[in-house]
Amino acid sequence: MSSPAVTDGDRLGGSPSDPYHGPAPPGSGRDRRRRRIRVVLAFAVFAVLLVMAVVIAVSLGPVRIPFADTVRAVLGDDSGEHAAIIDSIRLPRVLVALFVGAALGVAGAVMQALFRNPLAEPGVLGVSSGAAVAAVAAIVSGATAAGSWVLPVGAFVGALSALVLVYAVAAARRDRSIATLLLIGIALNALFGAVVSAMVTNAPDDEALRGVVFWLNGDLVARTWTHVQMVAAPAVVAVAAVLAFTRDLNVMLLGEAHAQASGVDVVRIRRILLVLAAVLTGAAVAVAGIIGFVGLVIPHLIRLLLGPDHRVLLPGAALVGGAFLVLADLLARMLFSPVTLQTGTVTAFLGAPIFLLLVLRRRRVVRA
Amino acid sequence: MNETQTGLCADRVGVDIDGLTIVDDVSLSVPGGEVLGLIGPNGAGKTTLVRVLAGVAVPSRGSVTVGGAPITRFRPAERARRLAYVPQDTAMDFDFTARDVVLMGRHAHVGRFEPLRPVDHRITDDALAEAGADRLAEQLVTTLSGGERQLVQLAKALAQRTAVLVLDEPVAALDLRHQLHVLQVLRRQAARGLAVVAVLHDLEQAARFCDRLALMDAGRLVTTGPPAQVLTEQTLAEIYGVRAIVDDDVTTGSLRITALDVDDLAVPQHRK
Repeated sequence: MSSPAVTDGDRLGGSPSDPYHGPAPPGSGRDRRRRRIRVVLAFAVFAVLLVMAVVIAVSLGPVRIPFADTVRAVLGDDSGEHAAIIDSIRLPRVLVALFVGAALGVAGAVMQALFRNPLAEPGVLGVSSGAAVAAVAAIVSGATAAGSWVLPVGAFVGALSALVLVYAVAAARRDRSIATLLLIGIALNALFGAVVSAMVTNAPDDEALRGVVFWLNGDLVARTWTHVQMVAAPAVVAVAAVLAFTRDLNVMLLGEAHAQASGVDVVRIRRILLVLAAVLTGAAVAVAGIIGFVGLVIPHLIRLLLGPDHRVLLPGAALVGGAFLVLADLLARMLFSPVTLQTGTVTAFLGAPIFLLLVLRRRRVVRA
Repeated sequence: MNETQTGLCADRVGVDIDGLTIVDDVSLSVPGGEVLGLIGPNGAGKTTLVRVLAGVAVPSRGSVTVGGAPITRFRPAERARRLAYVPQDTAMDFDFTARDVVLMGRHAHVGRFEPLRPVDHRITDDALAEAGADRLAEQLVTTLSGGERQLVQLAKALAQRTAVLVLDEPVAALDLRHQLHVLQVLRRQAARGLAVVAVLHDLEQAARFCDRLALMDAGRLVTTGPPAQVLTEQTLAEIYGVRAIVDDDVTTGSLRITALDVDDLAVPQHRK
């Protein structure tokens, strides 16, 4: 970040004999200090929010568990009377929500940066719908009977295959510009959607159909520690890897020509980041189905609060994305209990109004 | 010849795009300490040539060298430490402050796992001041005018601290005062030993601030030389299709070009 040696705003001004360029407006150094304080405060709030979300989500359910018991159990004390519920049912589900939310938040932020488009979301290149094709095929064909690992592994492979397909088509045109990748992604999304529809229409029985609908909406029912392991490892590794490219992402926001001029190996770094985003999205979709709006709304929210700098945006999107999905999942379980909503339905219910609010609050829209 | 070792050289560069030859057989060299103005009518291939000179586009034929070494041999970060390039497009639609953007000029100097150092912030401050953008430092680039954004882009290029500077229409969106300011900045950089190439449209300004001019037309380099040799009434008629009077401007000591009329007869066949 910036050094204290250059915070003196007045030192930056032109000479007094140069009225046009004048001295820098007073308080510009103060602006930067204020921004830094804002970032630190925001992350303190994010961290508290995340911890509170986890504790509340683990505590609430058909059986109410006192917060203190929850904290003890989460910290590893398995002597409490609710330890079994927490360990085998609540905690895995909450942790899956946390990792999925974090992964989708970061993946969305990366996609929005690479496409320089605030409407980009994790599935924009067909990664989610690629996962859907594989998952629906597994459900409809009955392959899921072979083990609980079939669906997530299939979905993950489907997600990465979609990205490979995007690059294969781009290679045939010998054109790797971001606009071309986006157009290919749109085409693949439509194609995968059609394949899924065809499989759904011809589903052999209602049981399979119900499974498909459930998966396509995104849900966290009955998640186990196996699911936690499946999403945690790729999510942690890929988020850590993405964090090594925060400055490249910042420069790439200026556009391809400027990024190249600044010494960013645009084509190579874009490829690395698209793979990492696909791993994040694929890992999330694999254990939770297609959960919308987290990857779109959360990066927006953080950008609005703290600006576009990815050194701040990416960790912020991870923390808030995790907290958001934990709370959304809690609402899904509790809101109309015993009638449950799917997690993906709740994220859309919450995400759509939040997104509209953000759109209306955008400075440029207001000015226009 | 030794001088060109410090600067930028193009050797028989050609660029084909979709079967069309956009740049054809262009050779030029800009030694350190010199400002070369690249001029020519719209569609002459200036921007394409400049992209090749800057190493962000690969030529179909020929080669470009920076400091004596082929530009294609450098990885992007190595290239950005030797040559700074300011593209024409100044659109910036994310809420960075001007200082954030100029600080990005240090990107190629800082390793992936290193933090920015105090020296990077100092160079950023200096570059902002040199470009005359210091008063914009804390403003969001989305709130700046096109001309102000151009100053920020110039500052970012200066923050790269390179030996070569390549600029595509650096004064296009600027008001008169800022035009003069930027051109003076370019002269100062040349005085420090930098090799500077700039695409310019105002021919009088080009004549006044450049050591040499390179005139392009239809992808080819028509002529290169001191302004007075390049900007003659004859070339203005032949290349720009304009009847003009060129004489000495007593005030600036440079050339004065008075365009009188569009000269249809003088427009070369391929432009009709």
